Amino acid sequence: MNLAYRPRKTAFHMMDPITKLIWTFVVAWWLYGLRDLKSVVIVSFGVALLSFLGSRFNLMSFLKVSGVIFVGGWGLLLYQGLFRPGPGISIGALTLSYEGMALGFSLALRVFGLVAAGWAFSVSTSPQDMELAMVKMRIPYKIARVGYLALRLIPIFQRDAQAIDDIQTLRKVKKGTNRFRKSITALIATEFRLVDSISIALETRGFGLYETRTDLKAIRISVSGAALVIVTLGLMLLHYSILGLL
Amino acid sequence: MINIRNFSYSYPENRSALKEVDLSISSGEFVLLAGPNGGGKSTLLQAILGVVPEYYGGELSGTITFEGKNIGEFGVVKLAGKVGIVLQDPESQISNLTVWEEVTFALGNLLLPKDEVIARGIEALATMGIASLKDYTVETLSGGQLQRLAIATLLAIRPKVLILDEPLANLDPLGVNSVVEAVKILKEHVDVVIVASHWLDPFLDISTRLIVIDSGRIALDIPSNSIGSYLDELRSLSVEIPQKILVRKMLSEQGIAFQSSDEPLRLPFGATLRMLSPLTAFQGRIGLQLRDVGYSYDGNLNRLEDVTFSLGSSSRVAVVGHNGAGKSTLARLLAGLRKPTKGYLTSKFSSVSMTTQKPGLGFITSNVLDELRYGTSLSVADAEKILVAYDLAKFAGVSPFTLSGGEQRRFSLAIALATNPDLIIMDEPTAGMDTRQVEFVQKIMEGFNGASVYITHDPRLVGTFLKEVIVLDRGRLAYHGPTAEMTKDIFELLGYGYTNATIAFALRYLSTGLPMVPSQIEVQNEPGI
Repeated sequence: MNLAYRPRKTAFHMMDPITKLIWTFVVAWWLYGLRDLKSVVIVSFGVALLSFLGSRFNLMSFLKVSGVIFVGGWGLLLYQGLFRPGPGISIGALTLSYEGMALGFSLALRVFGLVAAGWAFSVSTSPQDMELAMVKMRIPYKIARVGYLALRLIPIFQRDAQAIDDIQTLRKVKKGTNRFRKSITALIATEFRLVDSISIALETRGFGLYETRTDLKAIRISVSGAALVIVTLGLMLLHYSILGLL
Repeated sequence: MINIRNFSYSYPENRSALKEVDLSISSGEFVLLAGPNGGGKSTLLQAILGVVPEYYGGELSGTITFEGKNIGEFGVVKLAGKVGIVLQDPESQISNLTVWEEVTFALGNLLLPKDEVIARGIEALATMGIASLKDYTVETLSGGQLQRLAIATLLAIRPKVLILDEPLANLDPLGVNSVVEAVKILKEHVDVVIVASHWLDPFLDISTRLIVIDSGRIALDIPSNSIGSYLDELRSLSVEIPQKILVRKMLSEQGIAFQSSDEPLRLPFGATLRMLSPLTAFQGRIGLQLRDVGYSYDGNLNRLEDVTFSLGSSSRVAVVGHNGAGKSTLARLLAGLRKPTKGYLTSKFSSVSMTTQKPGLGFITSNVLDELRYGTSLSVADAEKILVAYDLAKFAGVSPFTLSGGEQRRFSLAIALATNPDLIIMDEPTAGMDTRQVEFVQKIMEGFNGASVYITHDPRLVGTFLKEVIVLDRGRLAYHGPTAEMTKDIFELLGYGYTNATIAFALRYLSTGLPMVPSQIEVQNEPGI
């Protein structure tokens, strides 16, 4: 899976999950607060570049998803352009306002920047570290485990979804919402059988026997992670003050 | 250690599963549990674990005690560390992403001190021979390695009883060998081992007792070393007769000593093994041809390389190979679901059907009758006749998703054939099936005139029913032809040489013409000897 964690030795992999999570929120806050297109372009691409260099995620996979974002962005651009008043480009009876188009474009760019940050977080954070981070944030380990388990099962679900698609193609099920509905039904009904096995496996391995468990690792705030958060926060505040947003 | 007294259990809706079972299992025993599908094996294992009635409800009477205490007083989770289970599907029991996280998972749950968790984790991996995989992600492990990991995880918590439920299903021969070796080691560390398996051969030499369950009752309870005296009973209970027993019996009738499975077969000087059935390869006219076919994902990861072979219009062929050999990719290419990224594939097959390892994934309607008729011109009456033939008539109006695993597998075959395909591709069609059901599949497929491709390592099919084989090795075609003409190298590549007694002894005496089951072997003396 393209978004799946892969053990590597990048700057992001060396950071702890808590500061990475905080950094992602800071970036989201920064992007959310910006209004002018120029700032959004600089910050979004800056975040995307930093995310890529910091985590070395698969650029091709990311660009494929980014392509989808930009296709969606065209919709936003058209929507905003058509319904925002002001000067713009006339196409027949329709007028696309410059302001509206800029707003649509900046919305798409913000999503692009956020996806990049989230992508970097996802590929550089082991599910176990994430679970431990959640436990450190006082979330019960049984709940924290659910996310971990989901990540473990995603490849199985992906493979089974592919098998469903293949069989439905051979059985000449027409593409569309109906096929999608049938696929989801088959997937849920089949994977439901996994639930008993997983429960039995977990229980016979003592999961849930006690309120806590022995963890071999402990999550500590990393210096590099804290530094990244502080620098990003500082830059954001500086940027906001220059723009007069503070 | 385990005492079961007059135990009966019915699932909700009065589906009786176990009837008046009386059984005692003592420390040091290795119990092999066999019996037809639906006979009650899994329910008995679940009862020992306390899963029934805790998970499913239902009615029970009688008692099951573990070390003198009623199982019901423990609850499943409190039995952790005392009774462990390795399930049939390795994927569903591994809940962590790396080998190390998995092997230490249960120890952490039991709140053992950190140092002990580490020490026991390392020891369990070493005992199971997978210490070198410590930092691997579980995604990269083969089926056999996953099962070893599941065993190591349980071994680390040092249970007194270890249960293995069909641990060899879906494994390739190397995986089978790996798990059997692991179980042999396990015997030295656990007081009681209980293995439920349709395939008795691999466990025959290490088990002490065979229990057969049929219709919820104990139908046979004998020492493992006396199985040879109960062949008729085993046959009538649809239990696969161990090949070793058959070989020994057949050879002794011909005056040839077969000392034990670990000893080489002693043939009289000059005696040879000869195939009884004719070699079979290409069947019918050419239905499909692959020439230098390659397939890669995203242009970089090669799944298949330079594969060249032809498939007859009525071929019946097994596709074998280890995990990642390219079997599923080849199946998708044959079905026309993928196009080769290199080379040429020409097919004259116009209608292709496919069944998957998880049959439920192929279902698209909400009742069995509609499901069977979907996309076909079958009338209701014809569809009902098919359901009768497949022993599924009583389920006509119910959702196909509610059928049991074996019923779903049978039904998916009926669906695949209902469209009158000229090529059918089946992924592990007999996994978890008892002898009776395997024979049913064989009977149905004998009447099929098109080509059929089976992705399977089931020794009940390959070599006997499937005499043509395609062997894949890391994306390349290693062999295509009659199973009987597979060379020693190919057998060793697949791992059969170590897991199948028949093959093992044949390998010692023949370099070619390897039969898969004893019924195909005739031992004869050369004239004048």
